[in-house]
Amino acid sequence: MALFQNSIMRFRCLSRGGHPLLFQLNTVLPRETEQRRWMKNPKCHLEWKVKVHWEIPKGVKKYAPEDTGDLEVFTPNFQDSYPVWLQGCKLLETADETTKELLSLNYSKAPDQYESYQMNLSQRVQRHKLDLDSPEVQIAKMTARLRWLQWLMCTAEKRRCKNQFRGAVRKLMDQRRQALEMMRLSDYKCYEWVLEKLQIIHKPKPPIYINIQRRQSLRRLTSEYVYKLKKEKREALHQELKEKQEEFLREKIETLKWIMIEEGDLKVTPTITEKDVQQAEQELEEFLHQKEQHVEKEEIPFPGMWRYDFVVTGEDYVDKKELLPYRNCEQVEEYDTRQ
Amino acid sequence: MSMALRQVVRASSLLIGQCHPSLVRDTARVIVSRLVLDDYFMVHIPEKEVFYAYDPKNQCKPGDVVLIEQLPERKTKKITHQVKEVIFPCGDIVDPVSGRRTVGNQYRDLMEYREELYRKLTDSSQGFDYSSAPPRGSTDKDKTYRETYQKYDARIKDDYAV
Repeated sequence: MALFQNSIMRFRCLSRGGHPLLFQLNTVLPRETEQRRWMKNPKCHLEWKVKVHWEIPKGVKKYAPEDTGDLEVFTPNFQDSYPVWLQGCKLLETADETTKELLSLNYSKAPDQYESYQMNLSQRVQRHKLDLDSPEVQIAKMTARLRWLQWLMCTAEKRRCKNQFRGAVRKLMDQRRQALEMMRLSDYKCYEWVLEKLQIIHKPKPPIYINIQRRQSLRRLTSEYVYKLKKEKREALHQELKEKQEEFLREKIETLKWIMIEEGDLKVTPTITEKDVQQAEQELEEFLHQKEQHVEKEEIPFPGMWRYDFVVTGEDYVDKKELLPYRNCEQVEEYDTRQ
Repeated sequence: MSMALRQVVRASSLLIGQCHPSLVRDTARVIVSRLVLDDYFMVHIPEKEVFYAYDPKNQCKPGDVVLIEQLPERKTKKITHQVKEVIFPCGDIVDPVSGRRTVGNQYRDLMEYREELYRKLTDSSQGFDYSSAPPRGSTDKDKTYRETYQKYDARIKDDYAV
């Protein structure tokens, strides 16, 4: 068994399906380069810190109000109100307090509680009292159903019950998103009004879903880090030069004046006129005016700039475009890096 | 999702399309659709194509219907067009024939007139009032200005991360 120098070689040979004694014919030995030799026993000790770290994103539960975009949550505080089928009843006014308590929503069944909540939400958005099927009310009804199911899931003890509601929440969420998208294109101002009234955040789906992996996300973070580092250095140099610019411009005016006087004394054909001096003075004024104004800088790189691994970073792109999930996707957007 | 891979030589330099969110600075991503005949099914199928139009004033927002014009020279590899005019802002369309405002298939005047009749009968208050509505961008709850993406790090605190 002297032929097998490493256990790795044996494994590699066996994994190909050949006989272990015939590995010399089939396999190709890795070439020993300087890099490999150095990696085995490095002669010097290098101290370097890892500057980019990755933390696993904690997945938000798909039925939670954070994911669905609901800022309000259903809470069973009814404050002595009655169910819908008892509203406007004249006999209740003359009834005892015990009957009033028993018929109130605090003691009524769950469907009655849900119906009244649906009524409350739809009344915020209704065009008139008889309005039951306008797009605003349809969205309000969907949100009522969604928040009701979310509350049921919190209170449900059995796992089986939770699984039933989970699918319903996902389905309703997609339906509501679709309805909001339709409303956005047809009547935008009403769409904004509805979002404020019902306390919803409308967030469209991402164009593609991928599995988040460690290597992919580290590459994305490194590209962000490199861009940020370059930008900081560039800005530092820019500010250094900017501080010197005021002195430089004043020196320029003085030298131009000196040359003009000297040329006049020596009676040489004048190369510099008063126009050039005025132009230099104007430059100084503009510079001082710009210095007072505060310019808001863009936050680059904002998160999500390098989205799906195949984004081009100027010189070379990070990952392959020919991967399966990106095959039918449209082409990459290059972010404009000019300052 | 499947955009047009082949690029067609068009007769006119002017095109109409819908604006979509883009990451590139001072540009609008406009999607133009056209109908292509399928020989097998004998049906016209819409095919979409993406154009990057240059607008330095940032006059168009996602959702607007925009008229774009071809540039005499390409600005970059991608940017070939220029935004000429915003024809219809998003969700605020005026019918060019009659000059009346529309909501989907119906006129806004008729819709409001019909609602007022119901309000008089039922003594109910008004819902949404178009005349007193603020301009676009009054809420922070509309997250369609940029494309959303999956969160790839736990420290990201962005509204557009899913």
